[in-house]
Amino acid sequence: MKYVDEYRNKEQVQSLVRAIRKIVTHPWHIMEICGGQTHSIARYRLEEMLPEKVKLLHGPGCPVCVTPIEIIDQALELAKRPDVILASFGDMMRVPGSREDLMQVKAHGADVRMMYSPLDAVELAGTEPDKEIVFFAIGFETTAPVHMMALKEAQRRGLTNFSLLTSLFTVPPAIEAILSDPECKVNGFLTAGHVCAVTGNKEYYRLAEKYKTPMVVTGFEPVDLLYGIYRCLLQLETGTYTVENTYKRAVPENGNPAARNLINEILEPCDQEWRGIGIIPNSGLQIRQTFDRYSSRTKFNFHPDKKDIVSECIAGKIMRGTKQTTDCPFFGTRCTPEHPFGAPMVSTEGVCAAYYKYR
Amino acid sequence: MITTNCPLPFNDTDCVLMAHGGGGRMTHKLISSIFYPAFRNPLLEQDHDGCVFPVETGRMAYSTDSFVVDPIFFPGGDIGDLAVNGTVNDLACCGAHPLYLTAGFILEEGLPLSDLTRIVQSMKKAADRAGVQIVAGDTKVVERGKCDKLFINTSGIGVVPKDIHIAPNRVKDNDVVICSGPIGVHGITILSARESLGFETNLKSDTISLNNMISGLLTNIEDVHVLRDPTRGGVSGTLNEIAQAAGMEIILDEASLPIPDAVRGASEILGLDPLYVANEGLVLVILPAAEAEKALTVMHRYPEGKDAVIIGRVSDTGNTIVKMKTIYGNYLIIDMLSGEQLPRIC
Amino acid sequence: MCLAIPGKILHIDRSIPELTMAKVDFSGIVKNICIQWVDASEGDYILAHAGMAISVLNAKEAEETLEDLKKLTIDN
Repeated sequence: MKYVDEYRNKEQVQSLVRAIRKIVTHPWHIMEICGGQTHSIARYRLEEMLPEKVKLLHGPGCPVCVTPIEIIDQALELAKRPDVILASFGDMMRVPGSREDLMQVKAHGADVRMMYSPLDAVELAGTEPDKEIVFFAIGFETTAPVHMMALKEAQRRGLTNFSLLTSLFTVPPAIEAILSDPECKVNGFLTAGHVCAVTGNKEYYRLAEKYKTPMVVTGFEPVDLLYGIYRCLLQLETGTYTVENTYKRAVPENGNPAARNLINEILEPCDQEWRGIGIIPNSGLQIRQTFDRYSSRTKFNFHPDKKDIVSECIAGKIMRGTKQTTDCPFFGTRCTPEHPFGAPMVSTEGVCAAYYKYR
Repeated sequence: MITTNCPLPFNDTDCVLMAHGGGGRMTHKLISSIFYPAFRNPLLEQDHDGCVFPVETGRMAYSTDSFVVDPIFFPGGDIGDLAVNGTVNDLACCGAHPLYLTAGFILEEGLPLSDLTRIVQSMKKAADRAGVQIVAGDTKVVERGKCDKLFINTSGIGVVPKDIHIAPNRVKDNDVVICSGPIGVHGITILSARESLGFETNLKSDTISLNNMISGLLTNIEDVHVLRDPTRGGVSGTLNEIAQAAGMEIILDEASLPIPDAVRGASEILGLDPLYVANEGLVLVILPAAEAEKALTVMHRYPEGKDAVIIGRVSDTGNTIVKMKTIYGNYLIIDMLSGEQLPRIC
Repeated sequence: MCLAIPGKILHIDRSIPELTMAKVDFSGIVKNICIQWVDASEGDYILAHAGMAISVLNAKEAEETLEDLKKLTIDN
């Protein structure tokens, strides 16, 4: 595959590892923010190639993991309504709400569809005019545009039976929350390449300056990740802190302004709860009032049940980088992918699940 | 002349009706017009509740499998040849020469008879290729919505030649693992044919009977330890089962895995791992390293084995796991999945 | 968080101005991808995420990154 295979090249990986070993003199903690990157790091076992002084911390960039339990319960409640078809990505199917997950309510008769794209859900709304089609729209800035595209397409077709149950997050406020934590251990960030492909890099300059922390825009293949780590370490070792882009083939400096305009037209920032972390100001995106007929929250009334929350999970500390998966007494014993305690064990790209799978 | 005002039931229909399962004339007609002409053989034509046949002395293998694939027609095959090949391959992987199959059909009312005919014809073709006979069958019809078009169960028996002992606990330290062909093709083909994920590909399901190749292998190689077709759960699921049963560690070599580009492409975009994707025309062979080259030469003579390669080896480390040596030379544990593999965007 | 895979645009369908779609080849599998929000032509590689192109891959930048990496290889 062009633009993939070159970045998995063995010799290139080995020379980057040598280059990293050569420059590291101090212990450093680098956080990759994105769950996709966490998955690649675990899949290719990049951590064990790095010098012992370099520790990778795995950030909260997995929308599946950080979607609050209340929102999952809303999805489950909607799915159970006889007039609703609930569609979402495969990722969401097994994420537990307070009592059950989408696969379980499907087994009990709910119409739950797994889809590759929200645009497919718009198609479905056209062919099922007597049903309400709800797309469980999770994601970061990367995924927000395609959800908004689906909304626009429903509007263009005059479909009134399509709505989005949004759970949308933005990365920079989360980075700021992590950096402003007094216990913060993170010395440098690898920012999520595919988020930056949409947002551009502007916001990260402010963060790099304010917190004197290098921010390196990084891709997803092993060579990309090691190159991002190398450039980040180079900054740390030389005492600089700026934004660097090591994923220029996919990320123009200004991102994708057209996609951003689409987001801004329909969505507005809001305070957002992150599962395992808590509320981060201005870290979410919600549908503006002018489009609220496409918001499942406006369209339906919810009757939330009281829930039990398992508080033994240290997910919040892990995602902030103050604790690691292996510090958790429940990891792999009481907390497993079959019986997850918390968010990072839930999704295949959650850090605990990735550690569990590739342990 | 006496005429009756009572309307007569339709006798001609182009789809399966509840009456086809009623045991009366309609049932008889369905069997005599679709099943018998295709499967015709003396054992079937005994017209009994079952079929009676002589047995040899020695050991027999007996297996069963049910098929519920959606869609029922897909590039490279359909539920019919899948149902025959599946049970034939299970028997072959026991080291047996498959002889007879039974076929049970659960039909959803409304299934076009032309679809049923097409599926039965492809079962006939698959049975002929494998050299087995379908000697007994059953048909039930259920109301619309109670099954998805049709489900097929096949059971089969075969004779295991003297001196052939295939079992996971025969796996030995330093054995090698041979994979008979490209990985992940069937599962990705089925996904591509499903509307919800729809994509175009030139991939065709690899469904095929493997008993001829396996028989050739067992004739030429004395000491085959394990044969397994990595269907559901994929190569990874199957090897994990073997590792556990054998009490051995299996180490795959990532660089040697035969994964076609289209399978890789689909796996990348859907976030799947080809090692967990189902195969229907693949066999994993575990045997002593000394026999590997000879085994490969034999397998390469068959179209279903022309791409056979060594993908790993067995090690008696005390662990019962599957590991993969990555292209970078470090090791990754290849675990069993906790559930079904779902496409992901994250 | 975001699986995005490079694929090559084979054919563009502009029949609906608000929904530009393209047939995109991902090493042997072809999928319809919405390219409404990128400026892409046939033959370009795009990054597709959940059915939509978020970025057009920049061949020149890719080349330069590989050159930089090559230099690192020589030095290490």
